[in-house]
Amino acid sequence: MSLGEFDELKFDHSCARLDVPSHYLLKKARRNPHGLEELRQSMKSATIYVGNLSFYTSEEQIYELFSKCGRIQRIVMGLDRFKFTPCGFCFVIYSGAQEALNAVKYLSDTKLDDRTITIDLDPGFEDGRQFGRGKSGGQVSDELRFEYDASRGGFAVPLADRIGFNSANNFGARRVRDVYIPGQEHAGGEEAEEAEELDTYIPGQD
Amino acid sequence: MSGGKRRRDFEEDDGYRDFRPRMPKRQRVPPVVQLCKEMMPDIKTIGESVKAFDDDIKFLSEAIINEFDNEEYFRDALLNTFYAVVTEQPQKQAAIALLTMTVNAGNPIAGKSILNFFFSKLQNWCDATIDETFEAAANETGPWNKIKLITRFLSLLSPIVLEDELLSLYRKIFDLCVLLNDLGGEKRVPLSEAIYFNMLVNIPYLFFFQKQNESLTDAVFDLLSFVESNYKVKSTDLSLTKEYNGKMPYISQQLVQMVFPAVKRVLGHDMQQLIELFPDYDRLLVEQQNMHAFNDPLNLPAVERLRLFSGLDRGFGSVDGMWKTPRTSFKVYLPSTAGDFETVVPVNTYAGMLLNDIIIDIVEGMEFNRREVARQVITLDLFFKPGIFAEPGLSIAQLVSLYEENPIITTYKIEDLAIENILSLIFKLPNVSQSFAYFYTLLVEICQNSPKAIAPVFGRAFRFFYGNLDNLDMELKLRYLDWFSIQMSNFGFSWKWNEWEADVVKFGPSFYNPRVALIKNLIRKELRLTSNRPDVEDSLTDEFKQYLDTSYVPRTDLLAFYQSFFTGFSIEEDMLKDNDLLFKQGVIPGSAYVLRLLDYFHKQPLDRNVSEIEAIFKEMQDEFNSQIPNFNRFAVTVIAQALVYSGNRSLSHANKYIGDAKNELQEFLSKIDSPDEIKERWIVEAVLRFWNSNSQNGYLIADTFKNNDIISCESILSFSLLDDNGRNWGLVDATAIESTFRILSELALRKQTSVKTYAFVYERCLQLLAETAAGLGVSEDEEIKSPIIDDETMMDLPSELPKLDLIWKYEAILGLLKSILRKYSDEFVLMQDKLITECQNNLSHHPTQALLTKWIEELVML
Repeated sequence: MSLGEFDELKFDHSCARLDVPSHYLLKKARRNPHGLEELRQSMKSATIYVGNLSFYTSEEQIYELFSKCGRIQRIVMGLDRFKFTPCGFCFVIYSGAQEALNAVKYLSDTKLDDRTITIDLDPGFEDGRQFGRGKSGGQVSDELRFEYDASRGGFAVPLADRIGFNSANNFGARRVRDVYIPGQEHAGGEEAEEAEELDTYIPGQD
Repeated sequence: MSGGKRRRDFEEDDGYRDFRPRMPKRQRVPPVVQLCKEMMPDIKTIGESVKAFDDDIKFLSEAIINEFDNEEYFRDALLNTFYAVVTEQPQKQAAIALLTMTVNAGNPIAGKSILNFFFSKLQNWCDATIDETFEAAANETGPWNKIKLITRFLSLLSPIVLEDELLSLYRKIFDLCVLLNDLGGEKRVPLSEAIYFNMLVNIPYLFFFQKQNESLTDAVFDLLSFVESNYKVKSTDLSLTKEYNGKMPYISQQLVQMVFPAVKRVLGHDMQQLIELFPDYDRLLVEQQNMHAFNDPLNLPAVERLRLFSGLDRGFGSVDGMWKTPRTSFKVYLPSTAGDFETVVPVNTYAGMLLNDIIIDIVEGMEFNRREVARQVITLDLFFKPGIFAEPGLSIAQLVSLYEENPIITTYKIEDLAIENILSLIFKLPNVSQSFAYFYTLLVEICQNSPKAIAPVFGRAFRFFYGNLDNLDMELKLRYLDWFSIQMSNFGFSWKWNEWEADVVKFGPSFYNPRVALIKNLIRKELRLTSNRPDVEDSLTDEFKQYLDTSYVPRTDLLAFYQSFFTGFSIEEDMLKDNDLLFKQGVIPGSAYVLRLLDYFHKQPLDRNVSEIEAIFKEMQDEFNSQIPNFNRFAVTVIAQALVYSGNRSLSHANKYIGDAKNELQEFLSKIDSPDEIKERWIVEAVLRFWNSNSQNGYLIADTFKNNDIISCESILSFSLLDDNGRNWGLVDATAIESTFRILSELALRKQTSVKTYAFVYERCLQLLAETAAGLGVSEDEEIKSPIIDDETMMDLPSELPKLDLIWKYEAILGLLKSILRKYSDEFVLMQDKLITECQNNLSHHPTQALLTKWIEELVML
């Protein structure tokens, strides 16, 4: 699907702008019939999505950094939908759209709590979006993560799946999902690609 | 058999699906679009590779010559790209001009089109200068700045533009500038200063490609003598916007006073200085057959129309807005700190002025991409003559040894120059041009790109500000604190704390010493930025570990606060726990009722009735009347702390609980028989004491009470500026000062007509000043000034400290008042006379009175 002005080739600046939707958002929008409106909305909304936070980062820490871009109206912490504990993302709602765009421009890929945070535009917070969408209640991206990450709950994939029951067959496998049946040949292909794209969240959807 | 089945069989049989490509078809763009996609990035990065520069000019110009007449799409893309580079990355203007001239030699129509395009842009910007509906985006540097950049580009094109055309352009703008300047009489006219500086800085660019043109030289000198004899440079002394109180660490000069002599110097001596500054592109110059003229004369707005816009106070753009108040030189890297040489190009030279101007234009004009800005400002030397700067990344020690070997080598560091300019924007008074976050993260970005080269440069800046902290403006101290903490948090909190140990040993017991206050605030801020306390803890040396205790008031005060509610019951130290409700502990009188109150707040709002709260407190009062003498105060404190405790998981929880209980709380408070002022004060105190270990949260939650109309702005302000046994946290604690600014800024945004809150803060500061001056016991005419204490000062510190502390307190109050007057000048200017009268009536100390009167009188100039 064409994304109107977001697909246009522009020559009005001498380098790219950072306050534009991420590739992830564009890709999602392309598949969504209302994608273009949502993208437009996200440029006008005062909300941003902040990802790759440590589970231990508190609202106060987020306030300390993000208040340098404008007046914060509300911070909505992303929670594990079963445990109600922070699961590594949040929404920051500013008083104006410009402040939200500023946060995207100025704070994306900076460090908070020793982690490089990612910031994306967002069409606006709706109740329910504060919860992780993964099977275990947290973020999907964590469930696909193979590596150990102390500030995001350690290992997400259980030990057995990481090393496999039969080490001769699949030791060192990059990603092992719970649909995997040990000892059986498994074709990754398109399904694997799809699964990877389930990362983090879809704007406007639960 | 259904048709569907047959079709499926057929498809399966012939294996049709196997041949379907899995990937979607690749999008094919029209050739011209493809050409632009490939060519424009090369134009945008022109000059970044010195080696490829000659080839770039050759191949790009060939392509442009051939393609220019073919497609409109190409022409638009090319012209817009040229324009974007010229206005956003002015260091590349010479390269674009060279490209234009090479194109002009091969395709004069294309050359003329480019010239026309820029001239029409210039005209558009001239029209925009009087457009009342003009709205500036964050990256907008302003119409006059754009006029500067386009005129500079046109000046570069002097080999293909008729000399008279260019000079009459300059003359026209200077005429306007002189008229504007005269309009103000003796008073400074910000716009005329901006034009004067902008156009003078551009003049040497006329000679960029033709340094030996005699007729041009004569004409330019005529122009300069016209400007010299007609433009009266005015000197303005504005103490409210000075970065330092009292003595400056360097001599600060106004740009408008330095620019003319610098330009004249650079054009003298056969333009030797210019030859040493601008790169030599003579080898690439091609012979021009065609000289162009502009199609139309430039239409500048009439002086009378411009008069309305001459204050540059309409928010028309970042760089233009900087001229609202006099622009002065700002220094961080002084010769004394590095060795006996300069590491930045002196600002009173043309080169220094131009480089600063370009860096500021890049930083402001490309604020939408801090990564690119970080890259461009550090590689600015590529666009000037090699040898102006020392090799990138050289340390000061290396420079010192090189300098000793050969004192004529250059010691200028491009890193120092770039960072000094960015710092000048962070420390800009009265306002900052972009969000602080931009500048802070821009510096982080620069440091990330080459930590080894940049970290020591930052280190020297940190030390410089720390060394001059005693005089640094209070608002700038907060910015310094923010920058320092964000920088530290991005780089693992490593800092050589031992350098500052001596100060802590010497002044540790002081409450108001600026250095101790900064260190305390810094460590607390760092702790607020991390959830891993050991990160900060491990970075500190032993002397500083005492400041890891983040208590707002000492525990003894906290104990006294809780004890004051009870008689016949003693609060023990071990009962005080961070982030916990003391009143719910089993041993505390009335704790069972407090637990009921907590249960009440945990119920759904619809299931609650305020009579339940009243009943709880009634029963409690009946039972514990003898142990709780001031039950009203106790009740208000308990209910406020119970709410804060219920929402102690996070700020949003607190917001939710307070928001839900808003009506009940208001009703409950209305039935308590005490003045509103006192009740509000109890609430603020209850919140801040609950969050004693994290006063930032305390103040933010107090804001929530305020936003829900439960307490007033004044109650928070009066609490934070309360003098408790000589200690006033509102003058030294960053969270309290930030809260004061936050409240006042929010009010300013609401644009209410009432300015009573501002008057309240002013009066409170006056009161504090009067008390402190009286405490110092100075005569009415004696100046109050803190002594300079260094290693050689002979002083019995422990006995002198109380007096010194009072002096520091006096300076802190003045600092706060200066910042508030400056920051909210629009509000204070409405009551100027009242402020002066109050100052004269309430302050008997004459020097303070005179200083405040001067500041208040200066408000109209902000």
